[in-house]
Amino acid sequence: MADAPFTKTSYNHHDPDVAQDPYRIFADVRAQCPMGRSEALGGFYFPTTYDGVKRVFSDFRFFTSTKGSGLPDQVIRLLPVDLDPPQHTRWRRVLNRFFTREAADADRPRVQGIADTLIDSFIAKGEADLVGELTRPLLAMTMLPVLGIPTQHLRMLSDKLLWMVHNRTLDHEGWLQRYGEMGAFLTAMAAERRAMPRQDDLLQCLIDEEFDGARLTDEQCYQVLMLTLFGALDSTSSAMSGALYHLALHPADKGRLVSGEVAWADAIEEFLRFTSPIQALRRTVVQPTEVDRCPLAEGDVVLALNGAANRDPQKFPDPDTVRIERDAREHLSFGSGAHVCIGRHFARVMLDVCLRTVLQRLEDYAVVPGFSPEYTPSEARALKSLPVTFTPA
Amino acid sequence: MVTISFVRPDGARHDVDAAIGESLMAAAVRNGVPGIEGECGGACACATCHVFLSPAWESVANPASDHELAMLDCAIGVTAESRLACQIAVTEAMNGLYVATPQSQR
Repeated sequence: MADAPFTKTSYNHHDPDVAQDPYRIFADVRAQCPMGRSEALGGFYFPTTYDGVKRVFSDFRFFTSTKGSGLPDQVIRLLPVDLDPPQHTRWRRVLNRFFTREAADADRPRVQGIADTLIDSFIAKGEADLVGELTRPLLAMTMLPVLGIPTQHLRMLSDKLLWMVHNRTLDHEGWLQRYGEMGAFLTAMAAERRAMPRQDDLLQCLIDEEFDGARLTDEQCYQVLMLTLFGALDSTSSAMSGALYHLALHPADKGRLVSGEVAWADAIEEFLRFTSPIQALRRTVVQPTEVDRCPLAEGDVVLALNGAANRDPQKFPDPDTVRIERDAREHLSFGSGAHVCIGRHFARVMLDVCLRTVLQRLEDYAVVPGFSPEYTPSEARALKSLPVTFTPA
Repeated sequence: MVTISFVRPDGARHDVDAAIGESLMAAAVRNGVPGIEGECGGACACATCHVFLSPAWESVANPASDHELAMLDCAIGVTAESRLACQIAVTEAMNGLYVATPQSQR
């Protein structure tokens, strides 16, 4: 196999066993031919170097998103992530204003209020699951109002979406059924909203504005809302819980943050790199090219692995170790290129508020003895739970 | 290294040291020049590094590709002087270059 331009593996991001430690597989591939090949899910290639992954994300003239960005395919096209520039750019321009750095910074007091309310609800108990009781609801309660989705639906949407994300290839019928339910709910919500008083949120914008020269149908509003919900209900929670897990196990790092020896902003980039909440996005080759020394042909499916790029030792020395002081700003946790995560500024604000508040209010929190971390499979990898104890207050 | 000046619509000027071969966008972002976002990281895929290059300086810059022109279509307030800063490579001849930045990238 030494002459093969790729390394054969059985890698499948939906495999629950693989999700526990995908990085070992990426390192094995990188040490052989750095382009991986799996026959799972219809067959796909996956570069494992930082430069290889970044090129797939950046070079849309070779790697299109228009055949879908999920593997396997989603039931619907998600907008605008399944578009290429310049069409994508015209969509994104309309959406960006809800997600600017300024908008995220201005929302910080509200995020702080949500974090405090959530912690108030369990601080007297002296124990909590920080995933179920803090990081997931903090993300959802922060983002749903930005999107224009009433928080009364939070639990229903969150339960359904998480099930969908993590059981897509394990229970296809159940996945289709929930997709149908989400579609009916979000399409109806868009329709109802047209008759309601105007509000300043994303859904209003989807209803009012022209995208690439045309108004959206209720169905298209659903295609955007569905995509944004993946970000609003799942992704950032993974970075927050992963960071809290690390800090619980590494009191010295806690101390360095509290004392100011290491800047929060630096540590947050390192937590984003290390946790890589979104692991994989699919692209399709539209003209022959070469990545990680492997020729690719038109029609080949390529999985761009954020997590593989973030653990390339050529880019980040000793990549499997959290070093909160390192300069990790070039990580690919938010992707790269046209589709760079629209919610990244909100993600950083949430991480900052969440971590500071936990270190301040649950100062002595510790992971319960015997806890063994378990991670969700799929494009999104996250701790399933983080049970901790602390001095009640 | 050469010195490039980015000038805001209100006249505020930001002088930055740019390395030969890097893009004007990269030099601007690295130095925190306001008004240049470079959201896509230089892939000519987002049109958030829109700048204006006066005809006096046109000859020192590589010409715009068809792809850059197509992406400029997505920028705001485009004129005949519009360019995407991520597509202009810094050269020795650019020492003292003035680049105007737009009111907004979005």
